[in-house]
Amino acid sequence: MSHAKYSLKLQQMVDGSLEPREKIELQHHIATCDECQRTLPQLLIVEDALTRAAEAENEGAKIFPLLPRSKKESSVFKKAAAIAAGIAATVLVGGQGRILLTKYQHRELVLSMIDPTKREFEARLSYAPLDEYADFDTTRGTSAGGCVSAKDLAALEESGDHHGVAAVLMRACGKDYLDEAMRQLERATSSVEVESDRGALLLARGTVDDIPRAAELYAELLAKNPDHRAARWNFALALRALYLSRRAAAEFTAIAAWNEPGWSKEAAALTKTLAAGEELDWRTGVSHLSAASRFPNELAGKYPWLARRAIYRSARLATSREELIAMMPLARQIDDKHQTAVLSNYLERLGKQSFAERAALAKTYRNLEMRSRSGPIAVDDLDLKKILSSKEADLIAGAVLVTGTVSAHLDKLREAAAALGDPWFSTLAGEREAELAFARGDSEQAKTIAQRTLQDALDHRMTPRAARLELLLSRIALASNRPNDARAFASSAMQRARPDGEVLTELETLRALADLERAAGRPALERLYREELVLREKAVAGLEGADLREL
Amino acid sequence: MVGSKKPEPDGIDREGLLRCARRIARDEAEAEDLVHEALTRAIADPNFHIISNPRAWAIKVMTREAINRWRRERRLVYGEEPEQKPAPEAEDIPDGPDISDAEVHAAIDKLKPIFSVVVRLFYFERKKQKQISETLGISEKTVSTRLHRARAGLQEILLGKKRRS
Repeated sequence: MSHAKYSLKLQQMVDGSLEPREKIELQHHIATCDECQRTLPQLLIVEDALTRAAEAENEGAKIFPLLPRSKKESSVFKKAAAIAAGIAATVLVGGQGRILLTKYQHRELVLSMIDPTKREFEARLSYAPLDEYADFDTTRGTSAGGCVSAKDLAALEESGDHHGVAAVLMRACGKDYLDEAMRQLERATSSVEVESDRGALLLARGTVDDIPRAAELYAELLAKNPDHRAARWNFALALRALYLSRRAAAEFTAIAAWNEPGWSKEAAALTKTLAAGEELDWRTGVSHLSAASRFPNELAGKYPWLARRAIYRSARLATSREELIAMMPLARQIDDKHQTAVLSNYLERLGKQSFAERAALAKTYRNLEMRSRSGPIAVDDLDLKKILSSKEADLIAGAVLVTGTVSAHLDKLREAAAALGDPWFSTLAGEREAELAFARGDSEQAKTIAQRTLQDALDHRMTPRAARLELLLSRIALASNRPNDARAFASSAMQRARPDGEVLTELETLRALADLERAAGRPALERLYREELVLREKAVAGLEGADLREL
Repeated sequence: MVGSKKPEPDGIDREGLLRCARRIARDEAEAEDLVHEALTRAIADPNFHIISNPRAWAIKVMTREAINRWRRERRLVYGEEPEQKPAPEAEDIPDGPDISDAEVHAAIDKLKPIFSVVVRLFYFERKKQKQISETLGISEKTVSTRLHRARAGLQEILLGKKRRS
């Protein structure tokens, strides 16, 4: 390669158009070439000066600086330029210096700025030229950017169509421009469409605060305009984002029934992802809590933490080594999934000891568990005392938990958890301790213990425990008049509970959120949570008591 | 060094420097390293306050650091003997005040129109070479060549002038 070619390559490296492999080859050349070594900093300095001057000019012109370039900008650019040229020839300048476009020119200008086949955000826009269906492109990252020429946006803005500018920014420019889009919407003349797109923006931005605001906005908007399709679509998205899956599924089912091209098909697919029936599966899992060896395989994959609890519970009830051996495959399956050996080690340890004494204690434990289903157990119950005075740490922990006597025997629970050396129990003990502190009104101590235990739970990847601790921290925050913290903790608890299939935690979190919104004076949101609860609570009806106490 | 505390001496804006570093670095971590190197040297240099163009100075430091890295890599890849001489100083870069935006515009105006239009579309309108070729009705290769010659011209006008003054 002649040196002139290297000089071109140097420039290409500096302007970012060199392929990575070529870049490495060139850099190896530069390493031995005095001339290239002298030229490179000069090029960088000039390039830097050019970039700064261009930025300063764009900022000075107050048209969106640094708008990202698009992959398909070539054709769009040509089209936009042609339309812009058309505008220049035909515009009339109104009294306030606005560019007046014909309706056709306006629509063409807007459409030239977007990719009509794809939408970057899941929300549906109401802005008229952009309300047609486009595929939701999940592969497109926020940094991919869109295809908007700053000049075209400026032309749209000059024409007074702030709603249009906002819609185009949302449709084509990714997350970085949502705040600008919001500012534009604030300048737009208020209408149902503008309001609906404000909600769409909130959904796209998606902060803990934005989503409930969007849900409220759409609940109100739909109360007055029940047939507004974009609002209905976005409402369903907001419900889903709030984890109100039953309510969201109902909305998407209704949308699917419209038979509207594109939207109905996407709605039908979304309904499937929110399909009901999971609580019934979970209920089946709960019914196997005392029989780990018969815990259905497919449920162990779906509810690994329920299977884990089944092993703990069934091992306590076991009166022979054979019963322990029978649950070993499940223990290994769960251990593999969580990349530990805690459960199989636990069962092996139990299997090595003499069962003569253990079997008698296991029977006492079974008796205690049976009795605790029908009524409260006294803290000095004889069976309970017998177990607490034994050396069987797992039975002690189990007995304290299923009898609900943690307040009297917290120390015993803590000792047992330490002896077991299993983070499941140490975090469970911490959680119960924090709950007790909260129940006696000591919010500060409850918070300290819960936060410390939450860290432990996260360190050991005990996500269901982490979720429950966050739920507790949410309640503590609400009691301390910190509604935003409460919402953030509850939202995080929900995010953890959902993939783990922790149905009970989800339900309790929904209850906490309903209480939270009532306290915050947001009745529309409270109603949404309560409606969801009604739909879901059937799954746990009749499961109160001992079965759930140690979950 | 990524994530370490980031010093920022007067006269150097970190973001601008990082943008420069990204042009020659292979990834973000390396770009951060180069910037860190320049800023650390700036802070350690007792004469830094008398440097008239801190930005150009920092770019030189970053380039030198990058070249040293490429040399080390070359030695590993090709098993070459270590060279004794350091990366050369870019003595062609004059000391003197930073290049102002007005100087940049004036320099572009001095180029022949067939070059200046390409520069304006590429840098100021943020068009890709393919789009420029479509807009101007010339081949992409011609756009690339014109851009190359335009840059060489700007280098001569902006840095040559400073050298002479």
